[in-house]
Amino acid sequence: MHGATGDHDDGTGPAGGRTGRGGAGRGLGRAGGDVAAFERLYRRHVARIHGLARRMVGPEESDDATQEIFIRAWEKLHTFRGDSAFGTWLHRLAVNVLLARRSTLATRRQRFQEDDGVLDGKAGQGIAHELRVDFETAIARLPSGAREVFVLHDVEGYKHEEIADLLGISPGTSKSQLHRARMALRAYLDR
Amino acid sequence: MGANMSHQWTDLLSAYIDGEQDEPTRLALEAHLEACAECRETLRELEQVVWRARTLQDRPPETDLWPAIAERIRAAGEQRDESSAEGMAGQRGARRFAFSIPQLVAAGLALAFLSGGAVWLVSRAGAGPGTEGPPRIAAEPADPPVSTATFVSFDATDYDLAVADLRQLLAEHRDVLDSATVRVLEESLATIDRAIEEVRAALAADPANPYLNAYLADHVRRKMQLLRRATALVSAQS
Repeated sequence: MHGATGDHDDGTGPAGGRTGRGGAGRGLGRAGGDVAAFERLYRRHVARIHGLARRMVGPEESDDATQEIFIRAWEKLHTFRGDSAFGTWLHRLAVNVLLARRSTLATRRQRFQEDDGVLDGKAGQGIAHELRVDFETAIARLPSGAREVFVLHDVEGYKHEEIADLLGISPGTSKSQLHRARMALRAYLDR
Repeated sequence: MGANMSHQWTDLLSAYIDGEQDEPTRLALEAHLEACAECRETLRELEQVVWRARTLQDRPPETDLWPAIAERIRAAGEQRDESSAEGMAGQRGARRFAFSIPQLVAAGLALAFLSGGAVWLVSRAGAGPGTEGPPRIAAEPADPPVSTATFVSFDATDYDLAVADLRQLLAEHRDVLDSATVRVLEESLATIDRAIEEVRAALAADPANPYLNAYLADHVRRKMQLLRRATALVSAQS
């Protein structure tokens, strides 16, 4: 699960504990505003955060989004109290930054409504004809609403209730979007 | 089994995988799956999708993002430092002013009182040398502090000499001035001395602060003028 429910030492494990309790995070209090210490945290967590960014906002924006996440983390370090894993804290911050980069709540709701038809059309057909598209690229090409739900639920381990809160949708909408995303991605299992 | 019927069951498959169904629904779906190969295949594929999602490998970005991040962090830090320094300078300035202005005002009022006494003496004895009409020391408008750094070079030696002259004058002619004037003048000098020490301490702590420098220098200059006029007035009585 995501950091709220599970922490692994390396912070890079499967969905059961992807956010990790990094040793560097425990040293953060001592590191304070030390840029060198923060670079170590960056090195430790960048793959994890960049992967999240790539899946949430697409590969084109992932580098810029990752930079923004770490800069925001640096600015917010004083709010990290050390009573949770640094990986958990960073992951939550990253999700918030990534969602903030997206459109407003009202527009997001509208996108969820508009996505329905698009996703139905793509399921097993629309994007399936692009034979060279691998599984990760297929995720990135999902309609944004379904992509966010799929990444948060199946990749990051969030629960539907949490996703609903984050995205401003109902748990039922989250469940239906997840199912649609899974159905669409079946065509890319071997890539 | 029709397509619509199959679609109805398919829609339940994700919730089945996630264990989010109540028992009657789950039992009904499992009964359907035993009879429907298409739905079993769909279920298998969906389970594979979930497994793939959970085993996705993270990889770092192709280009190292840290240099750009570090640059922005440092730039933000420098900007924050500048803002902080400006804020601290403002606070320091305000604190200095808070301490020094009352002192300087007190000194000005004291000197005004002194000048008033002197004016009374002058008006009684007639204008003496060195005075250009009635002195209006306390009525001098307070110009805004000069903000240019070129005005900071007040001559401390001149000030010290002026004070020394006044002190010597007081010592030599204490008997010709009334006791109240002498007391006010001495208190004013003590107040000004303390204020000037504040001025010098501020300049020593932050010599490059142009606003503080100019502000303090401007007030020192004004106090020097007051002292010189006071000295002239006292001299006129001697």
